Amino acid sequence: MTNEKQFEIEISTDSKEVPQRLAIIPERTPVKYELEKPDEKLVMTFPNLIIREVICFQLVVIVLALISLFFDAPLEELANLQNTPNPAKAPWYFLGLQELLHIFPPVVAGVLIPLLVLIALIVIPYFDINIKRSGLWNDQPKKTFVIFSSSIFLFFLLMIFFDAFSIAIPTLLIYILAVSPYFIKKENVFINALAHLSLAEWIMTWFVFVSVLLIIIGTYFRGPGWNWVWP
Amino acid sequence: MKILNNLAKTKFWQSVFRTKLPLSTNLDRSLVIFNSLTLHIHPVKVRLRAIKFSYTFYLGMISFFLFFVLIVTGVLLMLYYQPAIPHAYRNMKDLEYVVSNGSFLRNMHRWSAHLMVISVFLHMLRVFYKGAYKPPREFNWIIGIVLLVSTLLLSYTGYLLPYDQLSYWAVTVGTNIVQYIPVAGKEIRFLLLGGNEIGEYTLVRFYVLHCVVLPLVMILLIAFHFWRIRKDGGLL
Amino acid sequence: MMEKNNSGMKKSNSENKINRRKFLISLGNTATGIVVLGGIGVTFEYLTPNVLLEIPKVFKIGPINSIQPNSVIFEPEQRTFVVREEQGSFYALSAVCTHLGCTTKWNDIGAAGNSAAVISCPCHGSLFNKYGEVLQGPAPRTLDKYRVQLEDDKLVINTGEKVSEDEMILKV
Repeated sequence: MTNEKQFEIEISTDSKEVPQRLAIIPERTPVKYELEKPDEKLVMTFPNLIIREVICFQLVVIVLALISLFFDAPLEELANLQNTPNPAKAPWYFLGLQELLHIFPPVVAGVLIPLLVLIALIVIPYFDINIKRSGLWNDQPKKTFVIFSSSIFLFFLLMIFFDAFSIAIPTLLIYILAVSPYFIKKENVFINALAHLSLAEWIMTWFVFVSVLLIIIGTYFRGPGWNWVWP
Repeated sequence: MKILNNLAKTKFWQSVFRTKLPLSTNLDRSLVIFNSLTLHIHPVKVRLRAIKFSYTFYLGMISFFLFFVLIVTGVLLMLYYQPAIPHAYRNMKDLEYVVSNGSFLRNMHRWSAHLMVISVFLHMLRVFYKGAYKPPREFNWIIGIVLLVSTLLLSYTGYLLPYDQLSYWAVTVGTNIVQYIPVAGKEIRFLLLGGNEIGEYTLVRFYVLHCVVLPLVMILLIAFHFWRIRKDGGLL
Repeated sequence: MMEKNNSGMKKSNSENKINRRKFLISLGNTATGIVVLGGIGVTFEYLTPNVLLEIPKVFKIGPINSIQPNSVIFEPEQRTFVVREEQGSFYALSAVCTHLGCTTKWNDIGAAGNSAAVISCPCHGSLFNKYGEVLQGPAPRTLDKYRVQLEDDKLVINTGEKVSEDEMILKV
């Protein structure tokens, strides 16, 4: 260690002579650079992962073959412009959308809402609030409660105005779940789990709940003339 | 096993696979991965926790395998299908009653398409709730969203092809939604349908989208998606 | 003064002056732009069919004496209702729902609490009265009305020509 370099600190106002170096040390390590736990156990990809993939593929093919043997794909009569079947239903994954089309004007249901959903999904990782994922009630619970409740209330009124009970009621349910950690101070597993969910997670949960519900309604509860029927 | 071992010793085998059997060391096992075009998207070692079923539910993998099944069955179905107006529906009837195993293949294609929509959606939910979209994985999340949308589009364009009542009206309603897009809605609909109503041109357009354009986009994006998983630090 | 001005001019000139490199760059960019735009334009034009194999827009129906008063004829090819009212007045309504293009059905006995004849859409539950006005459901506007004209003793209906409420009825 005799060869150690000697550094000198030079101070000058001329940046050409003495370039200044600046180091910024963040308070907390950003998520991006958090290191993986070093003690995590590594295994060889071959055969550990490859065998799982092969088995997974085999299972997929077996399950598909069984389903295809016992359930036939639907095929109705030749397309006929003159005769619209009653009710005319889209494929199941679009029935939520069709239900929306029943409720809202087409520009809203067919263009605006899908576009908003798409944009919302795309911005998720760029949405800084969500990166830290603190629970909804972690800081300033009172302020959060007022803003959250009033926006939900406005949304609820809007839905009632459009007679969209199939959206309003699930929204209310999710709202009750979301605010329950604010009122119930008792600690138990369920309430703790709810309290940990961030705003983004609540929105996603709400979105999934409503879309699944709308799809179920569209599939089983809509009869001729798109009227409500019991399955 | 013995035959395999003998086969593995031949010059031909080694010219193809490069890896010598039996595998005895971890070096050999690594070579299996990075000497192979199809396997080298994997790292040589993986975290034990990341490959457990309970960690990812293998949803991405399942979606990919469903896509693979869809391509195989789809190519087979293409051989008995003509995208023309009286023929398309007749071909469906033929598949059902005349072609050996035709209805089995059609069922398989149809059900894997439905399952793929479900599995891709669940995959997205899994990634969301695990927070696996966080930096540096932001862009791969967007690719995933595009893949979800292309899955839906593929499913939707395929829906018209049998040309029965079900497909005709589902597509009528869908393309009429396009009409409500502000500014250029009517023009986009005209381009999509190749006319004012669903007809011959529409069928061919949807056929080309379903069999060529969208699958190509999908394959390229899947490749990119997988590559980004590796570049962004593996499974999470 | 003069000198100073001159040198200033010189400087700005050399900055704005088009040298060979700048010229070639802008030439290249322009050429690429034209090719891309041209390519898009040509493709769009190619994708827009010029000849459509669609049904003709004008059709005839009649003779008018054979059409019963208070009756409706559904013309399936054109998806049009041709209605004759009691006094010998005729009008033609499009059967295409203004919401999302499903084919509507004429119900003489009425439906969903309406005793008069209604036109109902099976897709999203829109309901119209017999003049095509929206009674309920998501339909944004009334059904299209087509021009009806009398030629000899037959009705000529042009589905390409939409008319307003005042003009829709043809008295005979």
